Amino acid sequence: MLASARSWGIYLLRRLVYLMVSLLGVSIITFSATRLLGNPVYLLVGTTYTKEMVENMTRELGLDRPVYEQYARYMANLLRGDLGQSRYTFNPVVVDIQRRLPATLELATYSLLLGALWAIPAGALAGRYRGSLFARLADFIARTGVSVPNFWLGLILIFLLFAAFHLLPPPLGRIAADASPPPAITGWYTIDSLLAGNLNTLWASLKQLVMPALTLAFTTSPSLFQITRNTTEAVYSTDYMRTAKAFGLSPWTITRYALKNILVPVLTMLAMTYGYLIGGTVLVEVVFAWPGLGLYAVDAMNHADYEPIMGVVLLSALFYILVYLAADIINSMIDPRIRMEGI
Amino acid sequence: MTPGQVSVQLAPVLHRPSAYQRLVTAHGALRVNLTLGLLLAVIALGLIAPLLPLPNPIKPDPFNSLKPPSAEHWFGTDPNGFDVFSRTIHAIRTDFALSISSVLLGVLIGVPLGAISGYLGGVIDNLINRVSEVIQGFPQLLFGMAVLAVAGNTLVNVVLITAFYNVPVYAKMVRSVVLPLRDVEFVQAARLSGNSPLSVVFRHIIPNALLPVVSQFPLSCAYAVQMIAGLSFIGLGVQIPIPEWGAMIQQGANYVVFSKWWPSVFPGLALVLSVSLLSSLSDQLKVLVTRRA
Amino acid sequence: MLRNLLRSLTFAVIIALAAAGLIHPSLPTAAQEEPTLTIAIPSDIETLDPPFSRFQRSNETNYNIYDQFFRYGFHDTGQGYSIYDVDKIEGEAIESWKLSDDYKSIVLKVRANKFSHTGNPVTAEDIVYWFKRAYGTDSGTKFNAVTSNIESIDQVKATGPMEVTIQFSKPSPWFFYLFRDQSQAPQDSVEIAKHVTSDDPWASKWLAKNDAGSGEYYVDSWEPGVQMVLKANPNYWATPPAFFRKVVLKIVPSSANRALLLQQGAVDIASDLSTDELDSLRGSQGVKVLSVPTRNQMILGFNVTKPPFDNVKVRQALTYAAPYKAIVEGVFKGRAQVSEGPVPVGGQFHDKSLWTYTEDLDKAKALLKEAGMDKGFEFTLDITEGIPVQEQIAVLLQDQFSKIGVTMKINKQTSAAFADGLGKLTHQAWMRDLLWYVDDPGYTGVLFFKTGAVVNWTGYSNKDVDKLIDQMVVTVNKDQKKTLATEYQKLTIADAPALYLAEMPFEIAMRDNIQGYVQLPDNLLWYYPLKRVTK
Repeated sequence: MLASARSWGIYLLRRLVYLMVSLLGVSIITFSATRLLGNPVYLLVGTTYTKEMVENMTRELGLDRPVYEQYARYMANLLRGDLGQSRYTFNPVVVDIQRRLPATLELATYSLLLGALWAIPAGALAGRYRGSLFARLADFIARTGVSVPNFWLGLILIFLLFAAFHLLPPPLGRIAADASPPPAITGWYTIDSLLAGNLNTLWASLKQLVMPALTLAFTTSPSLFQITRNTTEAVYSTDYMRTAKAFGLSPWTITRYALKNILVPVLTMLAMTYGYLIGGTVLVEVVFAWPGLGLYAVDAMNHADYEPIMGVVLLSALFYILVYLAADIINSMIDPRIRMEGI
Repeated sequence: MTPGQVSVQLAPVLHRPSAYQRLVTAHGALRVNLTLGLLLAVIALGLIAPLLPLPNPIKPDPFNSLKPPSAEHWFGTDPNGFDVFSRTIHAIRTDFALSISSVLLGVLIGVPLGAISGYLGGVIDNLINRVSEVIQGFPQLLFGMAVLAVAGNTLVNVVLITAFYNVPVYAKMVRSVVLPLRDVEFVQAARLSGNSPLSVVFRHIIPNALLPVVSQFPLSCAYAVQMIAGLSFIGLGVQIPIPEWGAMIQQGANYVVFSKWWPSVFPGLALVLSVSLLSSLSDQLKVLVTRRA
Repeated sequence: MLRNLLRSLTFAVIIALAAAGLIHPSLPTAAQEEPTLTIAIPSDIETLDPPFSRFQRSNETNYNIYDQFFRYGFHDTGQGYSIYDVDKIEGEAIESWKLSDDYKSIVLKVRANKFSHTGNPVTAEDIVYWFKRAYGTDSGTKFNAVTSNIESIDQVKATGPMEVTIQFSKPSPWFFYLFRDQSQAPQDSVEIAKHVTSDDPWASKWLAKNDAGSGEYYVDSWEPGVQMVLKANPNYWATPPAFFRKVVLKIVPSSANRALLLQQGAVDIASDLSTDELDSLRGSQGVKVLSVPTRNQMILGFNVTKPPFDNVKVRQALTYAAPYKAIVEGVFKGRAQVSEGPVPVGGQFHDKSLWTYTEDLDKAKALLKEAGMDKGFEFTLDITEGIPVQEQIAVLLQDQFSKIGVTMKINKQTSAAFADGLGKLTHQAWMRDLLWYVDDPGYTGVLFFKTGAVVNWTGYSNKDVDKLIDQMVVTVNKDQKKTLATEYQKLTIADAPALYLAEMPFEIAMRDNIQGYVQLPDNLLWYYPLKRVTK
């Protein structure tokens, strides 16, 4: 008992250290990108300025100080939650991000769910029945998913499902044009509609989600499919599985054993996909006018406003690291061996 | 030169199958020929594009803008009146040139980095490892946008940022090849005979890592094409009127809702074809990398 | 077994989705208690503080929530829209005025009105405060005051509770034209005083997000990035009251989406659509597209301070080479016209006979030879990204110039970077549209062509032109003006510091049951006269 607690303690401590190191790494890279690649003063001071304004801002930003001091200031700001100010919304970046995050989270989550709904069962079946027609078909779909650019697929879906066959509403954002968003509690239109008991709004928001979520699901699920398939295949061909079968254990028991072993890599891949999605919805948001973080970053870029973009980058990297950490912890609960492993 | 090579040479000479033959054995002639053939055809098409009797890809014709596919314009015309077919073909040059150079740059930096990391081990190895992990966890498109916003929207910067993402991939790959080789006989022999660590790395270890690098290369190019197209789609990268698939898709994007599908669909198809051919090739090449017992 | 299960599951899902697509519950449309105008706009309103508003979007909102000093009268053209009359000045915030005979002073009578949010009355003090704030903030309003020859607050005095007297340093031909601009409108000085701080003596931070106006509409709610809702001001002085009691400005960044919303009837007006989208809409049921000729010119500006454009022959050569026909008829489908020089065709004092250029490639080549550039040269044209019409014109220019040996590179920049380059004269050549809402060549001249002028984005300097401009600034007599304007056109056309590519119409798409549209000189949409008719 004590030994288990101790191994947990060491494991968590190690993971925490890695978390800190990763976050540090992320901050160093983003800091360098800004300070070393461009002059933030000219990026922040706008289009009409005087020499005094430039000098004042240089001093204000601490750009005349040595690099390590600048970095310290940068980190201090980050830890305080100060990501700067957007020059075109005139809001602090944190405020803007808070407002736009639910849109991206909602889209990313539904995309992940849709993708997993297809990829995991299909992958398991394809791995179990290798060489079958189903496996080959699924494989083909997965390969296509990797090769197709998500922004282009979104346009194709818009053309087919909206313009040509009028099956879905126009890609005008999160909710149909003639409906109003539900009162904001979580910021997720689907959940908030349910909470408000408004089925019409729920329906209107779901309809808008279909195309962008499908697009993202199709292009991000292939890796889930492949991991599930490969792991299933590997697991079913192990000695102990064959032994279990030979012993005549019920198919359900065998499946349970298999699932436990498949779970870990699949969960890891789920986490990586989710982490990727938060930063990866950018182009799909542009195509579908989805008012999330991605569109926010693109708008900022078009206004030569770099602080929002950096804010979104940091958030995405943070999210990715955290999701990865969460998956790791869950995995180690399922498979204690992970706790024991070294780097 | 693989580790097993030494023993083979002492035995009676066996016929060693060529790489191509090994591919065919593993995947079947149809698949291999189809992939290689189509890919070479695409690249060749791109190379000879200026010599083909195609309409000028950058000749605007506002009187004929947004015309649907016809005998005169096989893929129709885009909002500027450019011929979409001609631009799709010419874009092969742009996309392949940009992606190949980015990946090459990433390889040239990543391979030595990975080899040094794996060979030297210790703190340096740890550091490079951690940094690689962090880079790979970055939201690539977003960060690319940020860097281009800060450093300037030029083609050189696009190539550089794409190369940057390839460095950890190849560093990791080479490192994993190098680690088990550190203590293998011929390396020890080289070290004992007085070679400096650096030359050991470059002359004995890296050549062994080449095969996995080569098999990964087309896949990286596939990702690079997608990244470059993605950046062009939001306006970063090539300037008008240079033909490039992502930029072409972006120009046609606004018209899809009006059922004018051709300016965006055709370049997208070309993109999908190229990417799937490249990733297929990478997949097939993996077979060459598996160690023979 | 599992496989069968999966298959049936897949079928079930497909059928469910299909069914869902076909039988959706109809969304009950909220019964409109009051007539509401819904407009789809491309971006958010930048600021509610008129002196600092730089973009059309906020200019338009401010035009409607603030009550300007004056406005133009308008008349119905019989083509489905009304247009402003440059000769008819009417009072808005100012009820009436008396101009002295020497044009050097004016007495303004302030109209009885109330500020929308506080109910405070509009008084002479607010007018004086407006001038104080203009000089204090050193912004666009100060520029307008100074350009009207009112250089300091000492020239402005409240001579009664509702009366203000202004002294001009010299007669101003533009006072009325400038003081109908969106930014020339009293702000609630009593309320503003409550939001002044030591860092912010003019309450600019508060005014950026808060409406202190007395216009036909007021800001009821503002969801940044999503929409702004305006409501009709119940205390507004004009009769009849505005038809639309509510105006919803919906932010829809993609122009294709705005066009779509209009087509579906989800919005009444879609602003800032591209020529192609407008064309697609022309045939749509329930939609009408108004095309009003304006003085908006698409201009290619040369940086005359650096080679190769420091040579007038080079500039003239390119002016001969420009593909006017392809632009007017191809890009604008015949709805634009060749601008024929710095004074637009639609402007007062335009003299057709002075435009000597034609589309003539041989002449262009000959001029290049004279300039010693017969081997051709290379240059970069900077344009703003995201404006399809600019791209289309740019590629046409590139193609045409290549025929005379000139290689033009197109560089798309963000609007911020582009604007930056204009101010610092770093572009080699630039292209953008310019709308001179004051129909007076002297105004254009003093801003654009005068040596060292604020908006002199070409670096142009000609002492003779400067003299003409200085004279025009103080000339009120129309005949004298005409003489000066003719000379001014001759010189600027010959010097060709800018290439006038086309004079573009203002095109706006709306539902065909919307009537009452009035075209204003600055292309801003005026909500007050609009109404919806039932057929």
